[in-house]
Amino acid sequence: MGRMGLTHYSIINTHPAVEMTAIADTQSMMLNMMGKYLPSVKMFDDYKDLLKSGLVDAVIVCTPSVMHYDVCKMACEKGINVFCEKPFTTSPAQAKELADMFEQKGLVNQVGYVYRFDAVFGKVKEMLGKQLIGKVVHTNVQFLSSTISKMQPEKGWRSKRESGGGATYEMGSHVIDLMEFFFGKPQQIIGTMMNQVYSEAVEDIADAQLIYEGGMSANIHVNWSDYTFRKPMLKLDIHGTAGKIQADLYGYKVFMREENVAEGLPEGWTSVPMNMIPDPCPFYVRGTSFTKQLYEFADAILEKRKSSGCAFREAVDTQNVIHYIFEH
Amino acid sequence: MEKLDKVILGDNQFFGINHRSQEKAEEMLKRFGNIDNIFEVYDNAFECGVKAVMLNSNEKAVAICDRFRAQKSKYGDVAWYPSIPYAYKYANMVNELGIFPAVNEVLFKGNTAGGVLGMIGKGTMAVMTKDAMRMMEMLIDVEYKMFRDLNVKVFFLQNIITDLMLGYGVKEVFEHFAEYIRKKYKVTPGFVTLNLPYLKNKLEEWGIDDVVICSSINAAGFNMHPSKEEYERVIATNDPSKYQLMAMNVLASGSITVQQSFDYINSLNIQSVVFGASSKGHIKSTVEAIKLK
Repeated sequence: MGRMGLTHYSIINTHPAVEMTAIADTQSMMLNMMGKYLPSVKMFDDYKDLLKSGLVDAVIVCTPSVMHYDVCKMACEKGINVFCEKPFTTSPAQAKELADMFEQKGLVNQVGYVYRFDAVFGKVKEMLGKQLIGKVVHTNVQFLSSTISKMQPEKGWRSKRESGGGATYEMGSHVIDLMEFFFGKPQQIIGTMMNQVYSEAVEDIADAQLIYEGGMSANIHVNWSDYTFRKPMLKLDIHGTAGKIQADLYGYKVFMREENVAEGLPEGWTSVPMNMIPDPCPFYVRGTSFTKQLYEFADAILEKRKSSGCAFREAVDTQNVIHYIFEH
Repeated sequence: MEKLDKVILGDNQFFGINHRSQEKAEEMLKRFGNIDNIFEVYDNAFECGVKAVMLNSNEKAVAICDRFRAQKSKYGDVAWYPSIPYAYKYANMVNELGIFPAVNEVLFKGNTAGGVLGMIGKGTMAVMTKDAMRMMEMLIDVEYKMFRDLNVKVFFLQNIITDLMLGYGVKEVFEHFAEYIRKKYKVTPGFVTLNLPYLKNKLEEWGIDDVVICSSINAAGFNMHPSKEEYERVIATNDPSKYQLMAMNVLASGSITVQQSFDYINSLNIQSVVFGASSKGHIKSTVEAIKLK
């Protein structure tokens, strides 16, 4: 139960049709404390015992990334639906194997690429779906933060790729998934680059160019050592033949070459800040996206849907792009 | 329960919090890097008739509180509505270290600890986790220290922690927080939340009252979860002798006009408004617009 585990529990526990029955953690202190105040929840010090207990229909996996494959695989064997935190796995082959397994068993599977549930990026997806800016020719996406702004001691999960560290896993995975969400799978990846500022074992900066069917090109740039940003900044520029969309976590702007009466968009720029986009959610903990993401997972199971949010299959594409960057 | 001040000046503007524009946020952060500029805003607000302030226990708060204390003759009558903790500090530490090492860091590794340090020795985390309520008391004490000797009326738990804990549905946390604040500090406990209907429902179920609830309430429906309608229903039927309600984010970060905002706020059964503004003109027009029932 790290920061994400603690958040996810709080959110999903408020879903009226979900009952929390078990927690697995290796820290005995955590289990003691949780056990005392959550008497109806069974505590396990080994995830395998939890998966074997018969107490759960679904699990939220927030272990270090290197364990995701083993945990998800065993959950699948036990017929348990899985929500898995990002990055999905630490190898593309494992990601594909998990996607195949879960599809075969018809279990709901979702990866925590949470920006898909962001109100602004949801609007961008909607505008692209309506082809408001015509044919998209180029996209530029940047994710910048000051996560690592000094020399790193060689401890902590961020300094190891196996545990999900490195700018590509931590931040690149989110923007690559957003590209997957908007445009699907890229046909070609070129111009990959990684660089270090403070870290020794992982990269602090990563770049790639993606080329899509139909010729759209995209630049991806992530840097988690940009000390000028107090809060992370995720910024998109999507250039189409009939207009342009600019979006970040604070809102979006759309430029129309011609007025679109049906959408109420005049010629030129229209700016919509985040607080003008209606975004109610059933229970708010750390932004509406986290809640919408987990409720989507629970609802998919309850409604017996086959897929929800960002399915494992889509996360396989993201994993492939990530590992292409690592290897080239 | 002691009646709340109807108008309270908040602190978002000082800390570069702007839901609308990152650029604007950066600009404010720069301006208020100089504490004299912060006090210029406070002085303007007091001139406009504001008598109360809300302040989160973040890095700048220590220096702000020190100056208020140092000029007691000038500021002695100001009513205080502090909130704890400074959530970003904890979030980053929990993310980096894990929750127990983070608590350990706060309680035992100096920074703000001071007096608490001497109370128990190191290596007692394992014991502490068996008594999470004691751990909470110590964390409160660490944060409360910066507000000592100020005229505190309500002491709030910040929304990030309130809402995180609310999701767990553990009555003891809320009950214990409220009791501890009441008994040890002799002030009214408060909860900031972005889930007012959910929180109020739980507090009633748990029999916890005589507390203040502060929540985002605005004509735009911004940050009102699960919905503006549900908020309106709960507010209309609320008994202020049990739960006084304080509205924050009333201007929805500028997405509605001041007139629209206050026509709405003034029509509701709420007892207090906390607002953020940095120019004297904005402060004055806001204070004049607040006409709670």
